[in-house]
Amino acid sequence: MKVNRNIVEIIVLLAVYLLGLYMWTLPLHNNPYPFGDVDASSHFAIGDLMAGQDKSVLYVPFYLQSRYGGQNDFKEGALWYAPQYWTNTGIVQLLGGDRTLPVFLLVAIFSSAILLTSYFLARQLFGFLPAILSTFLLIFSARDFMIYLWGQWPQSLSFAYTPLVLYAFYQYTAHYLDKKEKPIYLYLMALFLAAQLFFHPQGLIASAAALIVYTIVLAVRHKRLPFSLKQASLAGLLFLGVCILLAPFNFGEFVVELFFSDKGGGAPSEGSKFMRLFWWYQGIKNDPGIPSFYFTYNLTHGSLNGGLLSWWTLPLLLIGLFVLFSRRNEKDWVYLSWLAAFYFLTRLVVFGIGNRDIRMFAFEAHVFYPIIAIGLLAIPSFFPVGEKHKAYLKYGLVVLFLLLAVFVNGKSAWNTLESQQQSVGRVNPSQYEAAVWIKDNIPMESTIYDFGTLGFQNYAAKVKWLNVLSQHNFVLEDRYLNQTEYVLVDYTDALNLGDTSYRDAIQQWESQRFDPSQAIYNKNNIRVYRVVST
Amino acid sequence: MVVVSVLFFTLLFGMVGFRFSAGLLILYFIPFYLLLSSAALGNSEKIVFGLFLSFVFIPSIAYWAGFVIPFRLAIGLAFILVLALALFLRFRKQAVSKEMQA
Repeated sequence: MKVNRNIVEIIVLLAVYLLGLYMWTLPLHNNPYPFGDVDASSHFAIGDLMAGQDKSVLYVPFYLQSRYGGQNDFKEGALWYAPQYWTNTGIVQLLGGDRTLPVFLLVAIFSSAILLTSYFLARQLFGFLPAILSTFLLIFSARDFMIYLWGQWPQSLSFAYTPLVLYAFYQYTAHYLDKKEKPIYLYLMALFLAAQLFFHPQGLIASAAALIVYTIVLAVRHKRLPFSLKQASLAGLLFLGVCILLAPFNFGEFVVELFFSDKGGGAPSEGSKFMRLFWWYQGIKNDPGIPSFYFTYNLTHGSLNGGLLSWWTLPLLLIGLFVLFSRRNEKDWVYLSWLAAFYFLTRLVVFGIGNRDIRMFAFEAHVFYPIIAIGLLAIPSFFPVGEKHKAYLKYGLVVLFLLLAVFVNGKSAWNTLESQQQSVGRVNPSQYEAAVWIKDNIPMESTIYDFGTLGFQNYAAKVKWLNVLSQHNFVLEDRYLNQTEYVLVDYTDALNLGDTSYRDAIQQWESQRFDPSQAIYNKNNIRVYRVVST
Repeated sequence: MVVVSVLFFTLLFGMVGFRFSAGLLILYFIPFYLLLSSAALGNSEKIVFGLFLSFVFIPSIAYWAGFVIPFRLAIGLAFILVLALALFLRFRKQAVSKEMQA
């Protein structure tokens, strides 16, 4: 029986992708309540508001003013990012018929979108095996799933477009240099770049840097420009037109920030920073806000538990780099250009440009993993044996690769993602219910003083979630206590943690100020009081 | 592939998963796949490009229309506009190729 190779490839890809989605949605199995640190709640808020009020949102809502008001330098009060990502979340809320679960399913799909685009690029350039192996490894990429758990969601989707940009440009230049012009690829590339700007400008910058390097390489190799100036101008106009038409205020903000603002400007380069040019991670370690594992190879590309086996991909990466550098054909240069872009963008601070270059580490696995797979599959060619034995060796290595990927990277990823199912860092059902009650029963512009929710002392993620789920302004500092109309006292986290001193502190604070019988909401160890503001 | 994906979400997340995945396929995937079906691209390119373009253009149309009409209607409008454009290009391409043959 003859097996259709295409069908086999599709079945394997589907199995790998669904395995990826199964893992990435682990935090949502049996728990549809929100998760995500830092800005996660804000990425939920705008779509939630659009779906709830059945109209689009142009300005930062009042309950997010303290965090995001005034961030758009181009149009005062306008949204701080382009609306496309958030509109998608609003749309799926309505499609799915639920307020939280469909949004988080979409976030899981968007955050793991790199699986599809990376497969696509690697498949088109290097064939099925390198593509599927690197995609399989990407499922377990700590770089990617940690950003998903932290909540920098639009950034993940933006980086996922880079393989499409590179593929479109590769196809365009290959046809152009072969005198068989197909400008459609250049125009598609312009649309993908616009998409990156809409979702997060960092993705656009990553693609632009890789395109510049690849263009220089092609220009040197072919001793001429690898594109038509006329077609490039048209693509540029298409990019500008789409940006201005679909996200005018955010494109304006991007231009203002890029050319007329010192917001992104970093301090002048210090002597010690030059060492970053010669090291991969050292000198970038222990940056505030990002845990140190993020700058350790074996922990991010192996297992968060460390150990000797967690280094297993490094030799393959080095072999892959050796193969690409020694072959140096135009397909190889696509990845080498992307890698060069990564190198420079993660070291911008050395040149005194920006101060957030460490965020560019987010796309490291996207470049590394296909190179690792190329390295693996090149090993048989180093041995002077017959083709039959090379084939045996290749498939043996593939099996070994899969075993290590599953039992080292996969195990670590599974444990981390599964542990989020019942994490105390997430909004619990009682808090969600209280937030919805506040949304429906307390006047819109009122402020709520929160005492007791995990991290309430420093406006941590859970309080931000209550803020957006209730669509009310939450305040925490004592100086606001006399200016607020409502006080929320939340015991649920203290009880879930089993921390009696935490619970006692809340009880003492509450008993000094309130009589529980006066609470206007008293359910599941959460009480809301109305207070007289001064 | 489509059926398996919808089944996957339905089994894991029940009715919400079904509505979510079927809605995503109908609203995002189908109109853009049809739109690119008229373009001189390979089938895998049409699938991947269509999907990733839909993530930008469906919400863009819905967002801006959502200032004029209710957001729910704006989503429907985005779907109809892209589908209509796709069908128009498809019929136009067929007409042109018939003319060429004649």
